[in-house]
Amino acid sequence: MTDAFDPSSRPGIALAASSAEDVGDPRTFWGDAWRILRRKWLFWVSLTLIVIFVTMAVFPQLYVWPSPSPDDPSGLHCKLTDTRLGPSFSEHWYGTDVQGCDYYAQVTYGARVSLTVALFATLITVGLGILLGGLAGYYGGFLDSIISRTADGFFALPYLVGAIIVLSALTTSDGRQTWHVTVAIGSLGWPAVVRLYRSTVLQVKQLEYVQAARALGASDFRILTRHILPNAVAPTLVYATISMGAVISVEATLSYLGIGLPIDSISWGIMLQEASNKIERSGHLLWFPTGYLIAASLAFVLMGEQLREAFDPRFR
Amino acid sequence: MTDTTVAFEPSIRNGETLLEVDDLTVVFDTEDGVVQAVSDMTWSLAAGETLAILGESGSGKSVSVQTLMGLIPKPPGRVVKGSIRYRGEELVDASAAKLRQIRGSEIAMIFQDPLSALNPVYRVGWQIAEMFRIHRGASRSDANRRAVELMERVGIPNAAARARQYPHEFSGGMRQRAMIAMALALDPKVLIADEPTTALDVTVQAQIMELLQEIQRDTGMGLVLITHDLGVVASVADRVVVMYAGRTVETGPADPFYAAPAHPYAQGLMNSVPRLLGERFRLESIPGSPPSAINMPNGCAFHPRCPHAVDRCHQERPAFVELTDRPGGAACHRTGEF
Amino acid sequence: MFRYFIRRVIQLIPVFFITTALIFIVIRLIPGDPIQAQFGERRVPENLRAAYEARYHFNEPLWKQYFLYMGDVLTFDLGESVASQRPINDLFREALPRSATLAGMAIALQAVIAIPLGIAMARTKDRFFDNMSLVVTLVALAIPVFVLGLVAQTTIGLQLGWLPISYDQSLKSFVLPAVVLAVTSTAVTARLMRTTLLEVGREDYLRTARAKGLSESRTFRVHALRNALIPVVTVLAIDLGALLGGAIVTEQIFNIPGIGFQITRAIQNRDNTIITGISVFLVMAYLIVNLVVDMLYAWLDPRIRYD
Repeated sequence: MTDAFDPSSRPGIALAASSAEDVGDPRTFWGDAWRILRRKWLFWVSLTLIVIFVTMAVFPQLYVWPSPSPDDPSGLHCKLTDTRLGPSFSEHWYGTDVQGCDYYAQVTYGARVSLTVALFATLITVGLGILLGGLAGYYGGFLDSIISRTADGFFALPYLVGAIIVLSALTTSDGRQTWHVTVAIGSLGWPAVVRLYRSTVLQVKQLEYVQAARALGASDFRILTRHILPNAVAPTLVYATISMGAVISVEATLSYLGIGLPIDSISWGIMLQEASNKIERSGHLLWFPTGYLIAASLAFVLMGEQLREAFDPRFR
Repeated sequence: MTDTTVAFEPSIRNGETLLEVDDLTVVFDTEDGVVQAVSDMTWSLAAGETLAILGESGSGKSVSVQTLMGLIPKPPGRVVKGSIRYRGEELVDASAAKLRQIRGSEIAMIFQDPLSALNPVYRVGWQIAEMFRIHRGASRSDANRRAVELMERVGIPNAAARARQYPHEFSGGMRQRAMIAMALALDPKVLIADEPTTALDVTVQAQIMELLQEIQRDTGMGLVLITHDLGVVASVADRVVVMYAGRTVETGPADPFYAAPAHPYAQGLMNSVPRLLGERFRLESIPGSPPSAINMPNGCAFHPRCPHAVDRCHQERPAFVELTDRPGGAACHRTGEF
Repeated sequence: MFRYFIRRVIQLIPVFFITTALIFIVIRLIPGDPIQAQFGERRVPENLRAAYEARYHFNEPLWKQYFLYMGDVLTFDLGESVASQRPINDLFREALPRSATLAGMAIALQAVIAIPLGIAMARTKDRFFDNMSLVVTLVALAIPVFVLGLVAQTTIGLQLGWLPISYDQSLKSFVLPAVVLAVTSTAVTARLMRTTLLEVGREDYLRTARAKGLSESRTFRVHALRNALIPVVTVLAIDLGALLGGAIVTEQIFNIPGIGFQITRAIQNRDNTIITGISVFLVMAYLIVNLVVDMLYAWLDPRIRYD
């Protein structure tokens, strides 16, 4: 099974570094990538950050206590008398917001919605991209023209304008929900994946073993999933990782503009919007969510960069 | 140093000695350690003479001439020993300005792949004219006119129009002619041709070699021809230097060398050239592959591939000795035994 | 060159129609009745409704509305606002110069900083300056523009009081937003400059230039930089085109009534004809800029022309 997903086990694929040096040493594509990755300190920095943010999103109780209880359903320890306290080591590490809620707890809980939107939007983007890119590259012809021209068209509208229009169209009378934002962001990113995946398909389609598999009567579905998909895993993974970081940033931007997440969600973008007119006197309301937002976004972008360098034979 | 370098045999044409490379050793500092690219290399070139430096890729033949042109990147490259003299003037520790003055105007060079060696975004005529403008301070129109003349001289038809074209609009042979025109611009005394025909079609190869010979006859310049192609050597070279793993393994005048190479590696090269030997047509290749510069074998570097290797070859590096039966020299323990 | 131009124009036509049709459909999907929106809670009188429908073709089938609108667009008429009944062209006449001023300043900053920075990074490859710059530019890449805007407003604008924090028609009030807008793209461009210079640095024609006896400085300026600038200039042109269409976030934060500002306001007011008009303009601007960039590329890199 591992063999099927290892591009280097097949001849003629540019992704695998093959030269005289690996004679006698059965190196694999992923093994080589790992050997390169583990020597990079930026890889370890970004991995650490990603682990922190993922655990923060999944198990916030590891970072915030006491957890939400019947007495304090939000878990934010709000006391109206404590409004806009500054950060202190003794009580509220990151201070409190206008409602007197603990800002550290809020910033921590903010990770969940950011990462959820980022994950699902990226899944939608990559899924649509692979499906449409695969169809366009494999079948070509008219289908390819339609898909490729539509993808070109998506590039023609600025991303944010597109997101705003799609969000306006999705929003119903019940108000906006998290999945609206996820779908809006996810439905705009696929053209880049289509370009990436379509060119991979076009390359791999020409390879002899794929031609041979076709001649032997393998179905189109089998060829697409068993032969073409594994070759596109590395670049798609790089794209998806960087996309996670970008979506975190886009979601916060939309929320800041007031057209993103519902106003009652705990999200860094919403926090920044609320903070934006109180910055002068309560700087902590700006700095803490900003720090988390940049760190989370940067972690994924950095990881993507490191993966790209590890996968790209030109950097080896 | 166990090596003794023999005095190189007098050149065949009695022209002025232009280049003298003496005991040259060039190393590269790499992550995996220090790599000796060229070791104890010695040769000379006289005016009007053609010297062929023969060897496989990685044998150090290109590094040696790029060193004398000052073209190896430093670091990682370093000259650790030896000297290179042009008309008696030392080049190894010459100033950058001095080297620039010699490059192009005294010693010119052409390369293996003329497409990548020409700048894709400038017109061919402009790139040739640049020589006159930089070295001679010629005006734009004067430089252009001389560039077109040069292109005509190297046999580019319709030169005035082609001067206004870009390298990608030229065929491979025409590109190499343009490179030659550029190299000849300032009437250099020495032309170094680094595998000038390797990237070209067989029919074009012959035309380019003919052109080089013709120019040499007209100008009397010295020609250093770096190649792995014995066929090229046979037709044009006066003398031959055979390199293996960064070392000179055989030198000598071309004709006797061609008739009876002394070193087993040179013999192997000769046998790998297709030719008619009486009734038989035979083609052999040398078994094995050249050693990596990092993992150099002890003793004679060629011993793992040598059909005549004896115990001594595994332990002791052979000295370079003059041949007894003809002019020239070879580095082999068993010289003259077979 | 001319044939290449014509071929590119022909390729752009279907993209234009697909994109504008998609925009048209999605905007029609925005919930709510645009006519009702003009009357708030009041009931729309029947005769007025009929007048609106006739004027804006709201009663026609969607495809027919699209073609009627495209007919206007091809005569450079982007329609008029439902709310104010002002021609959208007038709106552009006011908003476009503001967005263009902002874009011009941002691109100038980007070019002036990114190109020397990229050159310095390439020349110190893998040394301290290069590594530091790589990390700093990467961080700059990850910071959302609105965060930069807020931070710049607070620190440079309010606390230091060096520059205006809001649009007051003076050129000075464009400086801070231009800086904010330039940060991300400068980081991208500097990294691109570094990468292409390092790639060009391995090219054989630089060895030829040295073999010709050219000085290191001429080899770098005339032979290396000229080639390495091709993708960088292209990116600058693309960025300029993108910014001409307005910077939504920056214009919002600094209250610049440019195109990006107008589209956010139109969304809030549910003024669908303005949203459509601006979107169609943005698509046209993008396609024209891309055409210009392709021509620029072909002009800078002679290998492209006859391919």
